Amino acid sequence: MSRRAFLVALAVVLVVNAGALVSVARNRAGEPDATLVLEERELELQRGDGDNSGLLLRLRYQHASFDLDPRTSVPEDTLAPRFIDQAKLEALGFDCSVAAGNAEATAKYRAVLPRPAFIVMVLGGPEWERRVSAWQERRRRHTDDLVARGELKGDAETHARTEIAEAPRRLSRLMPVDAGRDAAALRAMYPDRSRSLILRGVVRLHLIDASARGGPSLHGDLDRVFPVVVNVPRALHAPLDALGPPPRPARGAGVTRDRSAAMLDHAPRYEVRVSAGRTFQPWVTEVRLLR
Amino acid sequence: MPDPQVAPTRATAQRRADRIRQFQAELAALESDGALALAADQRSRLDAYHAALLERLASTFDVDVSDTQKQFSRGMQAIAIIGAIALAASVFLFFFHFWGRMGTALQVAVLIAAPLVATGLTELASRRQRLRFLTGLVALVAVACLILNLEVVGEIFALTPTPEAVLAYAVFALALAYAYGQRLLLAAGAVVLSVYVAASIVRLAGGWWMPPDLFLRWEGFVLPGVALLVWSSVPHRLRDDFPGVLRGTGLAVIGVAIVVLSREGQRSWLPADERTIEAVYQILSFIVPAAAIGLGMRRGWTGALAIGSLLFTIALVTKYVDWWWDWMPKYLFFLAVGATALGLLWVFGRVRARLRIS
Repeated sequence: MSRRAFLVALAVVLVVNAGALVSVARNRAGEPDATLVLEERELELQRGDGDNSGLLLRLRYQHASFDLDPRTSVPEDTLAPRFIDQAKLEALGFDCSVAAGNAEATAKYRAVLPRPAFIVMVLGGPEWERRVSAWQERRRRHTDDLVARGELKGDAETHARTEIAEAPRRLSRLMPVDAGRDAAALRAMYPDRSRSLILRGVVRLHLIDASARGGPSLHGDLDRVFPVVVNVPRALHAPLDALGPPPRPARGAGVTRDRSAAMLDHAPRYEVRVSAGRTFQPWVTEVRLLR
Repeated sequence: MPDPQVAPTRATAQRRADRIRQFQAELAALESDGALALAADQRSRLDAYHAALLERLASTFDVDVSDTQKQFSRGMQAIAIIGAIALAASVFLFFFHFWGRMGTALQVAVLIAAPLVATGLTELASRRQRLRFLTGLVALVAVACLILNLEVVGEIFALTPTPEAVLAYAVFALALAYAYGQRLLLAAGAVVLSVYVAASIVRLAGGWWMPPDLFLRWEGFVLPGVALLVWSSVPHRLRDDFPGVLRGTGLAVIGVAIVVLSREGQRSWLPADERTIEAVYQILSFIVPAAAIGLGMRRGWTGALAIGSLLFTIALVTKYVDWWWDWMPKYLFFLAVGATALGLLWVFGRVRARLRIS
């Protein structure tokens, strides 16, 4: 029995790795599903410390509830649209049979399993520009209020205004706009393969109750998108190795980073060509420094 | 090589050695009390026989032939586990220190080779009974290497996580457990297998399966828990210490699921009102441990008895908290808990006395 169990252990290693590599080959075979040129603002360098020599790029995208609680925030709080309404939730397979305003809704939706879905991410475009302008306007008003109340002044005010002015160059242009169970149907709706990227993700249902802003309603939140990070192969390390640490922001005392949008603290320093294959797993094909 | 005439497995050999030592101690007590006096030649033949047998057991199976040796073995087991954790961390850090300097093909080759080499080393160590602690240590490192392998291959190629990786960890750990008699790996493999079954049920239902979302539904753990109990009833001729581990793990998996569902009915697959679900599982949280205690006493399953008692206590204290904590003075609450413990001692004492008579 020992011998057989030993062979089973070896077989597990070989079979599971073979399965993974076949999946990779399948993903990368033929024409990619999409090829996009992203910048540092969408793929932030996550350099390892002395104990990690790998180079990973963290995917950053505008998120409708980017670090905000979807039950207490409203769509206007964030740059990205809230695109998962009740109809979309139902299309994703969620059981929304109890109305949000119903007395049984809290019990019904308290422990709903999140569901996997294909997520469409669109890179920039007129809608993104419109939303960035609106976001800048809101931030300007907010900054003016703080200045008028004497809560923002000196370097901190300068930094806040610089950040707003430079937002179009620093904000991530990747914005999730749609979700579905059928990747082919989504691709048919978003045919531009150089601007729309389909990835796998997880959607979570939230009940926004009557006491909260926008309630009562059912709202889908993009819980996560896969992959969280993209590996940079050794052959493409050189441009990123040449980069120093990112410039440190000079925010001024007491001013924290705005959390309503995914934004870099500085101008993007590189761009990355990324392809996603038949099974929607992206890989890096080129890295170039921006002047 | 094991000698089936003496003992088929190390566990059997250890039990035989323990029996011999107990027999020798009892014989000495009988002689000292004057209840028994063996003739000198009988005594010397018996001593010589036991000495030779213990020597054979020790050389063949590396069994412990004294209490001091047993204590050392326990210490060595603990050191082996700590060593395995440290070595696994070292393997992880070593790989991450250098992986950025490798091309993708080399990264993948190293990652696949790591668990294969560690498994090979486990096999080599297992051929020497005296290296049994090293065998356990390297086997744990082999499992860590497979986790590193699959997680990093997933990261390199941006693979979406699947429950099949969890299945691979479980089968690998169980295979090593059966190959080298590793009880810790058996329990770990059984728990991970339970996670795989629960995750697969969630995935089949269209849900996202990874923890912590996996823990939004708990009945998925009851099914593999029951399967582990059934599995423990399969005769294990060469691993006769495994059924107890499987039984204990199965009971623990079922018990935890029942405890959670008795508190949070919304985490159930059952299409019923959550209060009803909680009530059903609260009843089960007493019945299942009581059955485990009963079976444990009847069949001498000490593990089942211990886990059943623990689950019963948890269920009882949980109910007491629900009923009394908010309104009862705390001194009275703990008095009630203490009185219950006294009551249980009385009941168990009666059962124990009845067992002695029978």
